[in-house]
Amino acid sequence: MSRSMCCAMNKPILIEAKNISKFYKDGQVKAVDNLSLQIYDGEILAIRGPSGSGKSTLLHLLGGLDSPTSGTVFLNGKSIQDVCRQRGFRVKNLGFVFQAFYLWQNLNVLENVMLPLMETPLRRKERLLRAKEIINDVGLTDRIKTSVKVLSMGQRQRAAVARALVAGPSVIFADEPTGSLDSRNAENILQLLRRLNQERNVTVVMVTHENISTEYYDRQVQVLDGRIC
Amino acid sequence: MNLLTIVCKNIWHQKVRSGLTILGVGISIAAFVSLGGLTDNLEKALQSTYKARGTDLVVMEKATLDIFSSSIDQSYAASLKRLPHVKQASPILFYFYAVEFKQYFLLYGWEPDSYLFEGFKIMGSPLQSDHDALVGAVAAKRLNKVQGDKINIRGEEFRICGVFQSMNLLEESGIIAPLNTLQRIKKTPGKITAINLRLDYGDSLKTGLRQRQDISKQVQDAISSGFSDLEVKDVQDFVSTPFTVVFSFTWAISMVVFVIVVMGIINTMSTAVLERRKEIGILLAIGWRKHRIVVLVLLEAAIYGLLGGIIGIILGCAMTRSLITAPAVQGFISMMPHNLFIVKSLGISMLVGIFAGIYPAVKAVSIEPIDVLRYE
Repeated sequence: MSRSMCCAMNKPILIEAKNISKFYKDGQVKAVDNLSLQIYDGEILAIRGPSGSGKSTLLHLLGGLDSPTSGTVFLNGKSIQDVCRQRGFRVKNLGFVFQAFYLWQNLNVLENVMLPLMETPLRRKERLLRAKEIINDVGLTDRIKTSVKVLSMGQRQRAAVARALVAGPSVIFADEPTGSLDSRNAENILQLLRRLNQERNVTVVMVTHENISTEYYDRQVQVLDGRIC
Repeated sequence: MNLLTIVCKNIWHQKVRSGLTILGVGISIAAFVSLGGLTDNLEKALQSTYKARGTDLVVMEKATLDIFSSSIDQSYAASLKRLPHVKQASPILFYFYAVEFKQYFLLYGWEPDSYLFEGFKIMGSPLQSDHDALVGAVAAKRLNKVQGDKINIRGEEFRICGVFQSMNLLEESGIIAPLNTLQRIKKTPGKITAINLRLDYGDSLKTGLRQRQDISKQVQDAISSGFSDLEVKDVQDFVSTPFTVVFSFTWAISMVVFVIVVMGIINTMSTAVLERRKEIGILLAIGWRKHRIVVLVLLEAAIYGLLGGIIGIILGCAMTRSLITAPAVQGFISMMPHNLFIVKSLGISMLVGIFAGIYPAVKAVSIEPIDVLRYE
């Protein structure tokens, strides 16, 4: 399928959710309820809403981590559930950043960042080069061999962003990326995501319940009770 | 960075747990190495001794549990020697007895002109009179005797005419006396334990293995059909038979040992997988394939097996060394486990580790990233 064009954004649609729903407990809990959404290539989309509104579930569905009860999510016009089954697709195309970082505690920054590259056919030297480049980009070069256990929260999230970006994905899904950070570090991470979005043309889909400055996103959608309002 | 780096760091970062697991595996493997290694080695050493001396067949009493229970007429030796292809027949008598009224030794009764003396290094002279005794080098050391000293066997005094070295420590820990004298002392005149046969294969250079086996078979058939109260075995069978029970014991103990190893590694790895549930879930979320997670877990389990195996081999060899130098068993347990057995033990240890890693690996790949994320 050729990419649809959006007149308003003048950018191609990268991800499209069509009437997706996610129900739990035999439909008693409607986390996402018949929701449709378009995400454009190269934008930063902020999905906002209070706790329990279904925004994280929506992010998981958009990122192919979970499958909808009904409806379909398309990435570049193809069902994300189908393409995620292809070998190496997720590593090369999708990056994830979480509130709790989820770094491998026994490894240092460089090793954590190199983890996704182990699923790519790149040679060791090239992997190293890429990892060092992205670590430099997120400003952690001086902590490259430091165990992630001893990093500050802000540095850990930078390492997680580097890990999400290292394989060169077209989109990053960030679930409350500033949720565990103080205001200064939160600001830094948002600036970093904005810069990487501009420099690398990476689409960012960011879930947050906090009020963030409009300079850090291009568009926002408000989610309440599993629907966009 | 590769999977091995991750595994090594995982093990290193849980020093106490990893150390205890490796020690547990090590102690278990040590038991296997010391037990299995000794029996395996003893059997191989005995086989090589017999073969090097040219003994092809051993004839003993039919239907006896072991060689020590065997008792046959010495006259069979002459009869067997007349059979086609039998080059030499050497009657032997042996039993354990307290020498000098204190320590137990294996006493051998051999004919002074027996071919069994071939390959011996004797410091002194061979058996010449009825009360001459050749004492093995290890036995001489235990008895603190030298050539020319006297020893008392069952109340009779023997002169040590020489101290010998042979190809086998079990022999070197024994004492050889003239067959007739030992028969008289044991009050079993004309009775022997077994007859060693050396076969005539013609021109040995031209005789192939198949022909040698045929000749051996012919002689065995002739003995089986002509001597109803005798049992004939080739050297390999003869040496292996008494070890069958020992091997069964060793394997039974080894099985228990391996179960302990498997349980230990399963416990450690399952805990590790549970602890790293989030990390494993995230690896799957960022696109790691399940088989890579399986390899990661199995590799870690294999490393536990390998490290435990190395420690076990070191401990096992140390245990064997302390055992063979203990005065009570000196001379009867002879050698350290040989290299092939050590390599085998290491391989088994790793395989057991991998086997033990299967369950935790299955648990690891059953983790769904979304479950990890949903509950956080």
